[in-house]
Amino acid sequence: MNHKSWHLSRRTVLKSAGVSLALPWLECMAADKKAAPKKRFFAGYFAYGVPMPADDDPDRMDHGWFPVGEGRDYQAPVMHESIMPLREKVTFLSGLSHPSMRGTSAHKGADYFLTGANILKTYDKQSISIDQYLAQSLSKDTRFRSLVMSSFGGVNRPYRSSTLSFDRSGRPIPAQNNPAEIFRRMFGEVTDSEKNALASRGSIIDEVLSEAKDLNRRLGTTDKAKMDEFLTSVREVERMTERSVKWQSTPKPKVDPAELDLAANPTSPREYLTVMYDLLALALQTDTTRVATFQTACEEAGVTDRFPSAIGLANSSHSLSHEKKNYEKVASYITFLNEMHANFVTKLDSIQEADGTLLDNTLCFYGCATSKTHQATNYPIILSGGKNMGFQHGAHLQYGDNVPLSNLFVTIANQLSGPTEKFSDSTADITEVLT
Amino acid sequence: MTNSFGSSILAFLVLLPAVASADNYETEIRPFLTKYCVSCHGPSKQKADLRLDKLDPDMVNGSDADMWQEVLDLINVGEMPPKVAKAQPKRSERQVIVDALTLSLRQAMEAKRSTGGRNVIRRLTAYEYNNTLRDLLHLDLQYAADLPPEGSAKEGFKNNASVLGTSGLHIEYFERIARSALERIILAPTEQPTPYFVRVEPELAFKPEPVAVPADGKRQKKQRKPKQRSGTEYDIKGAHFVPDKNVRGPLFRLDHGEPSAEGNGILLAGNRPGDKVGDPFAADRKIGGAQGDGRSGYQPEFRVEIYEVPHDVPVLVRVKLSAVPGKDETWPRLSFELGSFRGANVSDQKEAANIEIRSTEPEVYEFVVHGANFPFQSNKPGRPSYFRIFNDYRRGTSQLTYDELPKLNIDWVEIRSNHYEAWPSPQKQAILFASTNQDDELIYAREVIGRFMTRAYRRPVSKSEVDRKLTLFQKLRDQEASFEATIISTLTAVLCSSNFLLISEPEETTVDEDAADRRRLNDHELASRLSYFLWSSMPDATLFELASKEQLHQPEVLLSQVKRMIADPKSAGFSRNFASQWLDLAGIRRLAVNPEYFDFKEKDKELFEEESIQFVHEVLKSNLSITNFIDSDFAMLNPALSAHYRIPSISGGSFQKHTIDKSHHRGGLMTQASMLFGNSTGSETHPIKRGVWVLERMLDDPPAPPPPNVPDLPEPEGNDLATLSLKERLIEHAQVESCRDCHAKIDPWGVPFENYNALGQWREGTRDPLVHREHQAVNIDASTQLKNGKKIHDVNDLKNYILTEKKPQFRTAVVRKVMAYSLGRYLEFSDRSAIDSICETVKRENDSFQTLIEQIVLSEPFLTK
Repeated sequence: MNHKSWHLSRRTVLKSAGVSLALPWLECMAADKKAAPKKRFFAGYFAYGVPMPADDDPDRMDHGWFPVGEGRDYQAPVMHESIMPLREKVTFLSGLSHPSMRGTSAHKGADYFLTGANILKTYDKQSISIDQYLAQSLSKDTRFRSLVMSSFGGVNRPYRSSTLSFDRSGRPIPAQNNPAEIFRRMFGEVTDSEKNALASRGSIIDEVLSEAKDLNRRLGTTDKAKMDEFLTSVREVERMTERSVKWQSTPKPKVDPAELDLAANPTSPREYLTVMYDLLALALQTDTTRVATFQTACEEAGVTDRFPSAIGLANSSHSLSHEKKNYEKVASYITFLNEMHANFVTKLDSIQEADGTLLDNTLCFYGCATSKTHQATNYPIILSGGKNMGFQHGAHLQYGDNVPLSNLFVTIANQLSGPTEKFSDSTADITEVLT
Repeated sequence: MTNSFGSSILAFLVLLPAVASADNYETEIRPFLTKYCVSCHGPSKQKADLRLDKLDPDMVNGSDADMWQEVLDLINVGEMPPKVAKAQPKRSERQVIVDALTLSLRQAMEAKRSTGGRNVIRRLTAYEYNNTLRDLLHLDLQYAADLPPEGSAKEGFKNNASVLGTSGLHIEYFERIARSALERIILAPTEQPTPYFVRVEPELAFKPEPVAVPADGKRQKKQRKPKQRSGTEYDIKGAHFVPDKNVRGPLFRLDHGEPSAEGNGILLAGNRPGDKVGDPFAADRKIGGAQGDGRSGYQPEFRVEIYEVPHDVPVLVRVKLSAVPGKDETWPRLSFELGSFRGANVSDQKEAANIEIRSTEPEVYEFVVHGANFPFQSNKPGRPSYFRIFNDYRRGTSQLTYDELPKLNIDWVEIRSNHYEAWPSPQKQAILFASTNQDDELIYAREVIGRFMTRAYRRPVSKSEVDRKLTLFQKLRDQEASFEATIISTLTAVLCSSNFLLISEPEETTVDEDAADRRRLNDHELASRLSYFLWSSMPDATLFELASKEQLHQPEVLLSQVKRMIADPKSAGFSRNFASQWLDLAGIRRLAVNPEYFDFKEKDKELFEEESIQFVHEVLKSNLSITNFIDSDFAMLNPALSAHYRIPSISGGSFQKHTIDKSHHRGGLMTQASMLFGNSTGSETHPIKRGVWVLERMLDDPPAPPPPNVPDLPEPEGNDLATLSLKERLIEHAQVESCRDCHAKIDPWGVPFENYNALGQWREGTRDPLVHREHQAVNIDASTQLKNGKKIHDVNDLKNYILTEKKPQFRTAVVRKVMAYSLGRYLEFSDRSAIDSICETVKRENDSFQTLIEQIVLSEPFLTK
């Protein structure tokens, strides 16, 4: 039985807000004080950029995204009110972007937001995303390597990705979008059938793998490339199975689904985003995984385009983003998305762990890969939490348009994972976010 | 390679090797660069660190394709050469280089994705996986519902090997789905489960005395006549079976019904009447339905709520009812749904049947559905499942009063869950069949596994293949609880096998890396190709047998099988999946209707989708000419859709073929709501999207993608802009000269549809009466001019033009679309001669759709790997 990975304090149980979590006293909780702090990472994405009224516009503060003023004395526009109670745990960043994608026609943001890869003309240079990079070292002791979520689900297609996460070979990792299924995988009661299944899964996967290798030997070159993907996937399940076997004697955290609207779907955006963020919080709180991504919307026509209906707007989120004069509607829509994100961050901060709040042990990176309509520069970014990993907040940091976002990823990797000199096309690191 | 680029369609169809690009480099690209670019980006100066004369003209194998794209984009948007430059290219010169670079880059892209014109091993698509399990297990469930959503190739086909990725998550789900399906079938109890039975006599709601205490606790006032208060629940005091005394008994709920004249049933009127005065329920119709089910709460309904009903099992529903016809020969429609509540007013439901009732004599209607295919189990403990009937007659624009509406006269309703006709189930008997060797576990296991594998792998399996599964069986036997449980685990391995999940056509012998030659498919591979093409599922016993006898590849056998397969109901798999992907019917669901413009029932989107699927199916089944895709003298309609189109007096039940004439403004695929709505903005028309759709889908001539940073077509907002004509908006959009060039190729193909609003409804003149008042003012002008100067006055003109002057291109387009779908890959240069000869035969056979399919099946690319 592996206790190391099970560091839930009883206060966790008592303090959890909104979602009820009942845990038996476990021996492993006693280890709380001594254990090395747990490091977690969350990356979130929203679609289609932000309103940017001119600085002399009377509505600058009412409708704009970016704060006014630099450093600690900045003023946050109205749309960020929901997160401002956490001012000292939040940093706004402006100016950053991925250099090789600055000339893109937009809508591709989710493809490269976390990878920084140059996929402008071909897709063959797609590379690992920062979350998966971190998962290599952060998720050794958790039930799941990472939790990859998006409102669309799956991977969709190149240039209209519906996942933020890409594996070592640059292959997209399908995102989960069904709250009930996400809940089941993480917290669902293990049925007898599933216990049986786990007992025989190892042998089954062995057989599937060995049979696939047999087939592979009889294939031509082009087929082999495709078959390789199948083999990799089966090996992945093999590793997942090993993980599950290792974990099977540890009971899954008991989470009462009654508080969660698991049947919610993206046609009711408020309910859907709430339950998805709640699941993220639960995943991190219960140490089910330490790495999670959530793409709230896909930049392609579809159900997530109707998210503005949550606040009674008939416009699609895409058409709102094309507004060039009257930013009132788009601002109120982004305000809504910000509230959803702020609720999540606030919830993390309300959950106590041995050495601070869950937010202090979770670095949250949230933003979008366009600023003004279809401009793939000056990404709007909010960084929050991660105090115990050396992050310092309370400021608005402005960078020039030539600074690669991957510089921030280098810093994140250094703090969370270990010495990292380079990520994607980084040129340096960004130390201003550190204490 | 000596092909010229003279004919643009030819150029689009042909994949030319790199050397050809170099040709057009010398003749078209280099002269332009030398004249206008190299002075700043050449040997003497390298502005922006760019030297164009040194860029590698080989866009396929060279390393500068990205830079060439950049060059094209900058020329395209008019940024280069800069306005300050002395030498400015003429419009025609700009056009030449834009076309040349576009073409070369396109060829480079095609070369990069080339598979050498050969099929590549591919995973079953989610829908193929679903259908294959259905046919393999003889059990029709939604197996693929939890699989990660799938993308599609650039041309829209989901079965293209290049987009069918497999991930760990996929394998995890494949294992889970297989195991739970096998457990469901094999681990069923020995004893047949007791049925759960409810019978409801709905007139109980109208007993003069209150039959029960209403759930809201308030006593009803004494009623003068049998009148039912809406929204009140009643305990069912009729005959019913409750398995457990602690389980709450069934309830029924009636909204807006009245007792029948005979007193032994109830009447449900369809829809809200045209006049409020005679409407007995006018006062109750204030609250609309906010349950996301696409229906308003105005509709009468009759609902039975049942607690802890066995939900994951076959359910038999029987209803005794008759029709009370309405005025003008209108008839009621029986719609029933299974669903469940997850909150006080939040429910999930799915329709199980929707049929027009024309019998005025009471008849019993029976439906067997599987509860697992419906949201029949509530995911909130304590909330009931339910069964709902309503009358789905749509009044449309007619002004029928309440008394004139057609009504359902419902005598009684029965629901029987755990409905099995035989036990053990036929599904279980198919896997664990009777055998004389049943007493010897190992011999029997070999028989069971071998028979299952043969069907799952869609080919005979070798002894060694069965051996290895038997080894797995033996390995697991000790740890598993029973023989059955071990069989489940072993067969789960079969269903996770690459031989099941992938369509593979491995080399017959050891692979020779140099053997680029195509080889003939063996008969079993051919059977799979055929069945996934025409059925989206595995081969049936007949195909399997013909393959085993090695007869299937014989042309006359193949042809007769194609005929048989098209006649089989499973060919709906082709029509549904091919039509959805070819016509991008998913676009309908992607798009939301703007409620500021239209009153729209979300559910009607299904009609749009279904019309196009049914239309393609009709052309297939009746072996009509593919020219019907452009224009036809018939339409596939049901009453709801004809009401949407304002085509009067369509009766009948489901989608049926109806003869139409020009006054109906329909015919062909392009004037169906699926295309017209799917390529609108949800509020306004969008001629660019519609034009692109026609070019891509009907003519296989997709325009180049827009350069970066091109703004969207501005949507009119506010009253002042509403009257801005569409053409003015198009002009505003294409301010840059090079944009205009491109749009001159696109827009004329979309403008002729201006007589159809965003929902695909016909409109004329300066008013669109079908949208809300504030958006009615429009300026409809459907006339346009094609790039070649041809004037097009309206949509009929456009159809005629395609059917006369563009007919060969259209024919080739359809052949190519069907062929790409049949092969599951992009078409390449090596397919061209096959395509040409198919086109010739199809032309000779009056463009028959079946001929087209037969010719594809007989073609070299289809028969070889």
